[in-house]
Parts: sequence; structure tokens; C-alpha cells
Amino acid sequence: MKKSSFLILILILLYACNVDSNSSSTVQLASGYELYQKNCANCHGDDGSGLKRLIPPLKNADFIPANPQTLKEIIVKGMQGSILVNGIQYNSLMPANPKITDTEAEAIKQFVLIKFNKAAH
Amino acid sequence: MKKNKFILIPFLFLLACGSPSLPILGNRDVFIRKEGDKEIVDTLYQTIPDFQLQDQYGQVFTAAQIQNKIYVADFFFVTCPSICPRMKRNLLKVNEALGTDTNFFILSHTIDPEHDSVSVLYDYADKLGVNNSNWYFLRADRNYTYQLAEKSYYASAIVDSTEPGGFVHSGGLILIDKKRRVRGIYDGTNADETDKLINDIKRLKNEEE
Repeated sequence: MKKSSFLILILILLYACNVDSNSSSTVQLASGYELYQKNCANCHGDDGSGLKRLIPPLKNADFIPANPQTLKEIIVKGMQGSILVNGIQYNSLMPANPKITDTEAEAIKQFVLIKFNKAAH
Repeated sequence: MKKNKFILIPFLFLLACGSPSLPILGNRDVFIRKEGDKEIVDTLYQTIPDFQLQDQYGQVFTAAQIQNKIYVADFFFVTCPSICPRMKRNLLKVNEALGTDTNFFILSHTIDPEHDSVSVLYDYADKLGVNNSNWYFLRADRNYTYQLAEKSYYASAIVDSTEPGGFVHSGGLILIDKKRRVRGIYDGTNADETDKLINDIKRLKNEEE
């Protein structure tokens, strides 16, 4: 009896942890959406489609899942020089956003990865 | 029954008149002239004055080129990190809806002529895919453009180093009729306002001058 109670307790704890992790990722996505709208949507578009050959897309963009480790740095420091996205060369200057914190950059990155590029949670 | 008739009258009136004309914005002068014994009241509306600018092909662009044409004007700069891409996205919608009409133009004026040279404007238009259309990207001396913006198009452009990109400017899309009168100012960052602009351009084209 004691053994089964202990097992049930473990299962409840595991379930609680799972719920907590899901809700925290939902909060991060919501925050990422708001931050994206405020800092990125003017140029990259509300739907991440970019602007013709001037501004690269973030949605279904091969560059994004191929370079997840550099995204946060680009968000904060901006980008200069040319970049190849879906076979198109872009060379507009992306301004830096030094006011964006590391946590905020992470939230934007997750939003772009998950909502625009269907990356796994 | 009588009540119903009264209700019908305004509806019939509206049907007879069609949709009302777009307003004519800006200052106006009223003056009276005599024709024989009759006194006739005329209204003189504010119009866009003659101008001389340079387009993205390096050619002189004057008001003569938009004589008797409907056009939309806006003010922007190529390196703008704030509202300009959104405005251009919405102007692309306008261009896609009306771009094949040779009597309709879009005039985008740069407020940063020091950076936005002819070749920079050409490259910008090329990347938007609108070169060789009726969409012109225009430049002139900075003060000349700022005066044109403020005095004629009710737009604003100010140098402000604390702002992203170094300029503050209004995001209006300004609709001008064949007589060079301002007929509407629309928020170029707003998709619904852009749809209204497209609809109003079509109304203006149908309007009897």
C-alpha cells in the first residue's frame, strides 16, 4: 500500500512538472509574440514574410533553423553585410536592438522558431 | 404608411446621388466674379504647386508628368528602421491594385537625400520590384522636400538624432486628384486604411471632374 502511494505521488509530481513546463513555454511564446510585434514586425512583417528582396523573411526561412545559435546575437546586435535566405541574397542593414535583454531575445527566438518555422517544442 | 414614405425619401435621394464625393482638403479662397448681371461665387482650392525633383533613374521629374493624373504621395527614407517598411508593404498593395493604370502614379519622396542617392533609390525600387512602373522614388535638396511635405502635403519630416534612423516623419499616404488637390490622408502603417485608400482612388477615378 505504501509502495503504491509513493508511486502515485511520483506520478502526480511528474504531471505537475509537465503542466508547469508547458505553461511556462506558453508564457514565453506570448511574450515572444509581443516582443516580436514591438521590435521586429515593422520590417519583417506581422506574419514574418519579409519585404520582397529588401528584407528577408523569418517565416519558412531556411536560414532560421540552420542557424539557431546565432539568432539571439542577431536580434540584439543587428546585422550588416549580405545573407542568403531561401536562395535570395539580402544586404540591407539590420539595426541593433541593444535594449533587448537576453531573456527577451530568447523569447523572440523561440517565437520565430516555433510559430514561423514549426520547430519542435 | 405615410411614415414609411418619409423613410423611403432619403433612401431614394441617396440612390439618386450615388456615394458622396471625397472631401477636398486644405485652405480655400472664395471670390465673386460677375458674368453680365449675374454674380458667380467661385472657390479656389489649395493645390500642390509646381515642383522639380530627381527620380530613381536620374531624370528630372516635374509636376507636368502628373498633370491630369491621380497619385499617392508619401515621405520615407531607405534606411528607416521603423514605419517605412510597413508603409512600403501597404503601398505595394496599392500598386498591385492600380499599378497597370497609366493614369495613376505613386510618388515616394526621400527625406534623407544625402544617403538616398539616385543609385540607392534605384536599387531600393529594384528590390521592391517596382522599377519601370508608375511608382517613382524622388529626391531633392532636403529643405526643398521638407517644405513640399509641410506646406503642400500636410506631412512632417524632422531630423532627430535620438530617433531610430535619425528622422521623425509622418506615415501618411496622401491622395491627390487630377487637379492637384489633396483628397485624403491615410495612415500608411494601417492595412484597413490602405484598403480604404484603394477604394477611394477608384471612387476618385469615377468622380466627374
